[in-house]
Amino acid sequence: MSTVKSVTWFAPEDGSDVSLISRVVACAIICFLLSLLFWFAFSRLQYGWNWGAVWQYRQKFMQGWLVTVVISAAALSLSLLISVFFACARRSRLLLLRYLAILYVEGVRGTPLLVQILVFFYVVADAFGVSNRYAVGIITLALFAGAYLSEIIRAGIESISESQLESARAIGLTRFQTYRFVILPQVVRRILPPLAGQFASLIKDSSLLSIIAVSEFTLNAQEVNSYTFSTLESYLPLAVGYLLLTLPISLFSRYLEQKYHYAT
Amino acid sequence: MQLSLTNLTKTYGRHRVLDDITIDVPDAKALVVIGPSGGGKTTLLRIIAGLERPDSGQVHTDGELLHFDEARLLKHRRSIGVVFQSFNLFPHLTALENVLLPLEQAHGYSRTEAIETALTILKRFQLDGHAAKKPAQLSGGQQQRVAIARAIAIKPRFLLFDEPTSALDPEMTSEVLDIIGELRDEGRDLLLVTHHMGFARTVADHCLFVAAGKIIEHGPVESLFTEPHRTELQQFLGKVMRY
Repeated sequence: MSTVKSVTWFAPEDGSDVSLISRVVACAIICFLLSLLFWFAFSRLQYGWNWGAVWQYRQKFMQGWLVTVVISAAALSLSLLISVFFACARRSRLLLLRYLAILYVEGVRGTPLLVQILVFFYVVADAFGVSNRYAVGIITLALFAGAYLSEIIRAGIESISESQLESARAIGLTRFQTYRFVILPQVVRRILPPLAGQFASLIKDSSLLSIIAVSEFTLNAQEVNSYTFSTLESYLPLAVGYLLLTLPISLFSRYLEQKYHYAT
Repeated sequence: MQLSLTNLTKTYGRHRVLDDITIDVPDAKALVVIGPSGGGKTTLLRIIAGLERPDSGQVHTDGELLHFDEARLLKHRRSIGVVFQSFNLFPHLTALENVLLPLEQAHGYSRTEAIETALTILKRFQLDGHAAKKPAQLSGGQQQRVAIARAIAIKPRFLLFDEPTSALDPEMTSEVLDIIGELRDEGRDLLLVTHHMGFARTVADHCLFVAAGKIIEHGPVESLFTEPHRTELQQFLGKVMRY
């Protein structure tokens, strides 16, 4: 009951809502302790803060951040397409497709993104005469995230019980209709949490594109650092900038989870 | 419903679930299939439902030969209603949406037609108050009634029930059996696999006893229950009627 006014330390056993006051108190205590920790750590630091030097480059931060937003959004959409394709390919009865999907997932997940970016840009893209580092960056990032996403999607599809498929066939749905009306809605609901996590990872992984000189957020922060020698002042805003992108994704996914909530 | 099976055989690996079944059931309004578990009852029903292909043999329902290519199977499935033991409702859809889905997607009803049809049937089963609820919010009996509503909404040629009350407690069982009885009284053709001998006896007019992949004995339900000829059936009835 959210109307109870006393502060409780434990969530109710029956899983009902925790009162507002209890939540606020718990959050406040955690925030207080964490800030105490960091305040202590920073207070021990022998460091000449120089926010002014970095402030001059605020335009540069903003530009880099926007590039990261665009790259992430593009890579995210592309990775969704790629992952749906490979998730289906993995389940395909056509062996060529199935093994292509297995090879892709294992290859991409087993090797460092750093190496993938270098190989794709300096070897593959070069061989095909593609020199647009932004396009190559987006595609590499999408391929990388797509491997993880396709496994999440595949696991989601396989978690739908046989009886659901049977039921869909019994009422006379076609294969496509079964995916569209029975499998997809249930899969989306189930994979939202890992999906959101993977999207947040993708945004942060885009920072590695700095090694092929894609002028995104991290590269700009690095440049500001080398101009000003103000390391913390350059990188702390970087952390905040990424949080501004990843937090809304978490919140949005939680909102969707609640919206599509049903007990199974 | 007329049912005729010719040399029907189905194996899973080495296990012969249906063993060369040939039978001609001339005309039965309500056909009931009884027999021990694992004897092949459910497989038989699934083949008639178009959910399973036999290894060999033919199935005629109402004089119509069942073809086992996907396109014609789909058409066949759309013409009949199946109710499963474990309800098999779609958990992400409300009771109403569960009934709407086949109407709209498989039978081309418009939204308004579908809603009208679905609501009429839900109301008939005293489920109109539950139309907006998801399956998890309904009792087992209510879920099974929604499943029956979903099956009859499409005006099927006949209904197939696969142990529709096995997952229900006694009180809810009678809730569901009452409805099946009503449907039969309305003159709907149905085939029912069940362990409720008493109910089988009252509702059915023809009975098949299936065991070890064969139809051991069949005939009008009264004579089958009162004077079973084969020892397998005598033993089976002796066991299930004891308590």
